[in-house]
Amino acid sequence: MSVLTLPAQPAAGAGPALPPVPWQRMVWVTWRQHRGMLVSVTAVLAVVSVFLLVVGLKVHHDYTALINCHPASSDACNAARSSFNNTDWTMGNTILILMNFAPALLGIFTGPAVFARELETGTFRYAWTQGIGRLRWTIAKLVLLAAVIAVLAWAFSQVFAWFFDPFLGFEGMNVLAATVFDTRGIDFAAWVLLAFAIGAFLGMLIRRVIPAMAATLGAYLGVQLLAWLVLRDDYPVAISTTNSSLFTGPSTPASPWILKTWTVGDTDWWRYIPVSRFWPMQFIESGWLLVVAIALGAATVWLVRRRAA
Amino acid sequence: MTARTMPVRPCLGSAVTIAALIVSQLFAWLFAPFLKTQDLTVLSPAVFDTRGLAYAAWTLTAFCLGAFLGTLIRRVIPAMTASLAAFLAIGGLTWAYLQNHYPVAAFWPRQLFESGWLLAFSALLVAGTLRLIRRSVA
Repeated sequence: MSVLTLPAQPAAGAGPALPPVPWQRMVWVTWRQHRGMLVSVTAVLAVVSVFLLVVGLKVHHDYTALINCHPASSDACNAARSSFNNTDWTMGNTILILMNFAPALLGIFTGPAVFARELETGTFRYAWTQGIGRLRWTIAKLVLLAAVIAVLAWAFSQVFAWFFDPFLGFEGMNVLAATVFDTRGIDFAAWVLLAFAIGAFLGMLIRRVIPAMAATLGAYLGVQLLAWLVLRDDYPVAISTTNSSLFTGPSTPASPWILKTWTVGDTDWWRYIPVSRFWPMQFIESGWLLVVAIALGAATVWLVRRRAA
Repeated sequence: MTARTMPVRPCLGSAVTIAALIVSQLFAWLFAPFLKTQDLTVLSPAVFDTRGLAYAAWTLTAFCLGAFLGTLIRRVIPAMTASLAAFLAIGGLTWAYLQNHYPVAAFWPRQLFESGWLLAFSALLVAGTLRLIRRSVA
């Protein structure tokens, strides 16, 4: 890549100004600098996806055998059910918990490495004096890396959602349950995007890779707990009702998700989210996550601009 | 690695292990009510590994694994990724295999057995790390 040098003030009769370096050059630069990270992330997600596919086929097979088992209360069927519970469900539950940590891990290993590494080693003095200029350099890197990582995360979450589907039926779990909701649809990709944005911003702020990784973990967990415990109750998708007939019967994946109940005088009230509102809820959550990620990206660019080279 | 920096690693390893012991005691106290409500026993794999000796031994193993892979790979972030992957692999295999084939049944003997083989593994890792350092310095 050639270094284009521009004079601070064009001398008289210096000829036409050089055209700015096109954005497309940053695609090559980003790939060259971060191909290790991108290849590793892809490889790790691919390996885990293969694992999920292989184990998932067994899980799906076991589950199909289970629901086709007749008569349902015989000893053989009960034995099949408890075997599914002990082996398949234990593994599925463990993977579900790990999946909830995955956005944090992906963010930690991708975000800080983008900017903090350059600042730590001093190579930013070379990088920021390239012809493309430090602002466009930063914006291009953030956008390209965020897009690639988000797409990879989305694909991975689809594989996991397929893997986990039998357990929803078996455990009567609801897709609106906090741990499950995070891993489906577009929400997982949005959380990974946020983690990356936090990592890049804190990397630029703290300027050392490992402290930035620790800070990213803390910040991400804070935001996730905030969303789980506080924010999700207030998304404008919930309904309040006194109709108790909605909540009788066994809990199935189609049961409404109850947020809270309270009593006013003689009547009991429920505040719940019907499963049909799953996608609006996904869009609301992904929406605010995307807004925060973009704000963090802007803050990162502002930090780059502000720093005296 | 100079003679001055050599004592750092055992100190760090001990500090991490002691912290793990404290954390595991706190967690055991916190989690006690849930044992009954969630129908678990201290021998359930998920609970067993969070108790006292086993938890500290796993932490020490993870630390030694990180040190060994760091000395082997010599780049921080790839070493961290490799350590994470290796630790999950060892943990997963232990869960899967020992859950069904554990040679010891009672709680404390099992804790001692698990801590024992984890400590032996950690010692192997430390020996490997020292050997790598001596070879690279020589």
